Amino acid sequence: MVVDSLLADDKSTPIALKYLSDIKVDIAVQVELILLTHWDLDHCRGAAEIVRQANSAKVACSSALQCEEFCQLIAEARSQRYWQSEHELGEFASVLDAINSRSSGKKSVGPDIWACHDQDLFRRESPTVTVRALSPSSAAQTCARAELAQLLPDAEHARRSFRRIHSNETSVALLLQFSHRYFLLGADLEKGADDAYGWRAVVASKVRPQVPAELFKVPHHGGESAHLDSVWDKLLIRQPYAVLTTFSAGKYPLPSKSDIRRLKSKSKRVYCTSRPNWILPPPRKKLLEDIIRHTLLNRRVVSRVGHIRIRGSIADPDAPLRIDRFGSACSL
Amino acid sequence: MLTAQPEALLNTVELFDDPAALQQGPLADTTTADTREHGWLEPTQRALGRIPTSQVSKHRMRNFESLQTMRGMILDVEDKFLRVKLVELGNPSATEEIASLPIRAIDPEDRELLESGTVFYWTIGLERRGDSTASISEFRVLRYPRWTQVEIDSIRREGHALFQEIMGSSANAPTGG
Repeated sequence: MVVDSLLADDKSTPIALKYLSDIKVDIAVQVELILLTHWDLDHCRGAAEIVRQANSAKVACSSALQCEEFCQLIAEARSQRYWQSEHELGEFASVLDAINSRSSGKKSVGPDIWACHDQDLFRRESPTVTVRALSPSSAAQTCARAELAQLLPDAEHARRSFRRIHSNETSVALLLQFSHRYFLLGADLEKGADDAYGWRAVVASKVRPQVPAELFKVPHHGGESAHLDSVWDKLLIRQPYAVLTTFSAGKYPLPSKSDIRRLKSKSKRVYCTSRPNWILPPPRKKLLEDIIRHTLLNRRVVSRVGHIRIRGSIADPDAPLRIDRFGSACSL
Repeated sequence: MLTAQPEALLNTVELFDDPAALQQGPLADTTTADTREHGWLEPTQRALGRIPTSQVSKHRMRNFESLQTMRGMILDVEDKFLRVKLVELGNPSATEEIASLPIRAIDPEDRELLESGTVFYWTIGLERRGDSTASISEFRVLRYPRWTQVEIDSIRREGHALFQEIMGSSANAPTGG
């Protein structure tokens, strides 16, 4: 299974494909499910290539995208070339093209699965493996549709501008079950305004499995907007392992120092795909460097990402997890 | 002595993303009366080269040497600053940079274009003026053409058709064996 996508440092290969190839996985045959948790570019870039190569896998997307407004935005992205290649809508349009061009199996135009709260996306027995979507909530899906409608061009707003979708409450958070082991993957799901949205809706669900996870992929880069104490209290064991990705393209890098303090206080150990520091760009020739410094403030490079591998015994759920770090990944 | 003079050189009719053309500096005049009138160019016209402005004199164009051009994208617009992503053109190994750019660096006529996702080009170069050389820092904001009502109607129709096709093909059953 591949959840989300990001490009490797060569800016063309999806990281997941590179890793799976390195460990000799037959991508075309063995990848059975591809899930795009939401539309942010740092979660979907390169997804179309994964769909092309893993051509027997089912493709799942957030059900918040299952609406005519989203299809119209896809049509808009396909109708112009100004920002298509660097916008999530362009990537999603390519994903749909990749699904449509598959030669084997049943012809499909859209995703095979629209993921929403309390829905199993994958099931297998002996040993039991399930992938259960915990979100988005029904209210988040309704809000997303309204937000998407706002982005559509009309006579008054006819600029072919590059518009971003901001809501993270449509993200698909997952509970993974491997026999008696449970992992919680938080995507970018935010805490939510009330019990109808975000993590608050997940915690309030009466039908979600009441099993604590031993590992948490922390949502939204460890940011405060996605933190809810009740998630740690009700969905996780005490002091679980926490893993997260850094985000250096924001106003401030995530996780912040206070985020790290909070995460460390709640976790057995926190792993990060790279150090959440500001890294200065390498210096250029003096004249260029002087002009750039004279003009810009707060310069930093987008940090390279490493990856974290977690392995555990399915037969022995009490055996400790083995966590390996690659590239820039670190323990905080 | 260094000078950063973006406002003296800005142009409001730019639309080009051909790195080779950008690296050449503000040279060839390929702007037609039609494109000047409408303020944008179709993609096929963009490859022709730089679009000079009335502010950039022929003398200046002849004596300009580009040192580096960066493509920028606005991530957020704040009160006095833009948070931008910058990528060096012509250097595939360069890492992306995130920076704050003062809004005053952008021509006042272009400021209405400043929103998340707006693309701009930043050219840094040298201009020879007689015996002296001045450094130049120039921002050009990319203008997107407007959709016509016919195009908007077409998008609506295509989106509707795509939605119907998708809804007709989705099974939405869990996978696995």
